[in-house]
Amino acid sequence: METVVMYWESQIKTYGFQVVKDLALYKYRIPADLPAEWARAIKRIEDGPNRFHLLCAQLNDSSELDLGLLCEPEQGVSLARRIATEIPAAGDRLQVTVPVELIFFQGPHFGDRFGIADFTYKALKEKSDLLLAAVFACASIYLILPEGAADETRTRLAGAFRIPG
Amino acid sequence: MNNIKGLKISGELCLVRLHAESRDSCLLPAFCSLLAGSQVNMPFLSTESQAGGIHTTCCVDAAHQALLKRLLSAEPVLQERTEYTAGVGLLTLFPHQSSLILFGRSLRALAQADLRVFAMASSIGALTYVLDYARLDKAAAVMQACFELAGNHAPFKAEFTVAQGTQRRPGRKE
Repeated sequence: METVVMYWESQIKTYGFQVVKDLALYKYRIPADLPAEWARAIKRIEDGPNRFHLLCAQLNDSSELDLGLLCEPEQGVSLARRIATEIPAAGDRLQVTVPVELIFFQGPHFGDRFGIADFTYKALKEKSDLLLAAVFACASIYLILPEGAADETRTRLAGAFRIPG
Repeated sequence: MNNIKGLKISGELCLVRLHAESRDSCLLPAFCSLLAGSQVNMPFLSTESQAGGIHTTCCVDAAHQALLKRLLSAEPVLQERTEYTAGVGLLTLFPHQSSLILFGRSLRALAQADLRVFAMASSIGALTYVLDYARLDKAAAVMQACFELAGNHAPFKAEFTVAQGTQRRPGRKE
């Protein structure tokens, strides 16, 4: 049995914008088949401080996973050190951007509705060029921005989305 | 063994990869606009910018693949930067509690089972993997062996579809 639900709103609603500043974006290029040393390295990151704000990965043309990890800078340093104990040359596959800023927000059925990404990019206008990364998954949207860009971006988004009082 | 509260399996999707050489390109906004104009949802989108350009992975319903190809055939700039992989699906685990343990264990388990990860992203409470659709049940079984599901929870598939209009109330001309 198929149930079709029509969801309508005149202005797309969100539950509010969260901004986090002074974060670090760690990008590792990992062999997708996760050879033994990388499996051990991934296991290492489960130990010690291991909180994150955002994880994302994409398979690239070389069949490697480009993994992005957004975290507090000191946690990133600790994590990179733990990976380096297993793979001393892992630093060659690492790119760190710090500081960066994060805006994230969510809304009803965002992941099930068409037009949410389009609406977000239209709200950002030319500021979308600043995005270092973005994730639209489940009902959440995460936007990673360079230092100093989050406040104005939030203002633009707040002008487009409706936040119920 | 760690506890998780649930596993969700999507229907069949088509993976779309979009690559642009330049960071200041408007290609991704144009791509999103094209899909929105034809009411095509993207249940998953992950994009990153770097010196080498923009790399985007997104998913659309498998039923929309032909429509998407038709739309892109009228947009050569987008079409030549787009690749498709049919037959993927989403495996979503929750909650991650902002801890890398769920990610580390699940990624290692998928690799050990020789299950290819096309993409992955976190959201507020969940971790979503893009995997081969034909092997989603196998992936769910791997996760069930790796994590203890709270309250005998079994992997579930969505039983309803949300269709949405953002510009006008359905059935009303404005």
